[in-house]
Amino acid sequence: MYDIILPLIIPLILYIASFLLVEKKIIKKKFHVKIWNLIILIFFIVSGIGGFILAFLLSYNVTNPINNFLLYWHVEFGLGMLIVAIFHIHIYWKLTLRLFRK
Amino acid sequence: MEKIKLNLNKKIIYKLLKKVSYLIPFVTVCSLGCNGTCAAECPFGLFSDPYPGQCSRFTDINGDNNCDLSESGQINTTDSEVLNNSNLDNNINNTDISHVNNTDYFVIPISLIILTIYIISYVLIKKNIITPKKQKKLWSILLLITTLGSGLTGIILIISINFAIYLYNNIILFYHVEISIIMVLITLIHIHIHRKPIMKIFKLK
Repeated sequence: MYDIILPLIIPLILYIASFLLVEKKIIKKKFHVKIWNLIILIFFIVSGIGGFILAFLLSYNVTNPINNFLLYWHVEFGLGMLIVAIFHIHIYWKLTLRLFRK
Repeated sequence: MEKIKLNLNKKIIYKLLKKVSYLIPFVTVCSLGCNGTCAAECPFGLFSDPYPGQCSRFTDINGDNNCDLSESGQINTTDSEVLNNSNLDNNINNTDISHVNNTDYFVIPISLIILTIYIISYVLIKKNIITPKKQKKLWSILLLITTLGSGLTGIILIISINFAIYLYNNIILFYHVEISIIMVLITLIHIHIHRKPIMKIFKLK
């Protein structure tokens, strides 16, 4: 059984908090962007690279005790990465909109 | 008197047989159901899934702390007749092969294709055929599409595992892995394209 709520709720609360801190000018927007880019990078390394390694191991039938551990954290961080990716799009919203303009 | 007794016994036996006959369809259905589940395998192609298991189907009758379904060719029954059935043995061997096929992901071919496309796009920029802006746009759109695909299939899989819904799981898992491989490679390309602002992340001043 995977935890669905926590990996989604924790980044959401943290993002709202840092967003409010930017709005109240307690922290700079640049710092907020840097922090969330760093967070998405960490989530990507655990979930993305972890998943890639897992797929590589499974496709060559390499079974080891780390596989299940890797699968669990790949799923949990994957959920987190999905919501952090939405924040990433929100941060670069104007640039994202430009993608669909000629 | 003896004739009456014999008639009574016959009536009792007849009634008993009649009652037993009602149970025949039920027993048949139950035994068929058992055969269906006894030869079960892990729907996610997992091997030796330890306690508490990756899904709510976790069963450990043999007490080895691994899910019985994830142990390839494992049968959750003590029925020796079923075990001796050669047809069932053939089925188990077939499921073993399907396990291998299910986990055969195209990691290297996809990686090579994506890398080749990126090199081509890079060469096209160097030769001024396309602008870097267009290249960025193309890879960003591809990243967005693959992230959506990977995320959606991943969410479907988590929901199906947590709520024990087993519909097309192997197919969804296969496409989730394939789309995610593409997504990871495009993310690496995205990091390479935006390497200058990314390097600034580590200068947290």
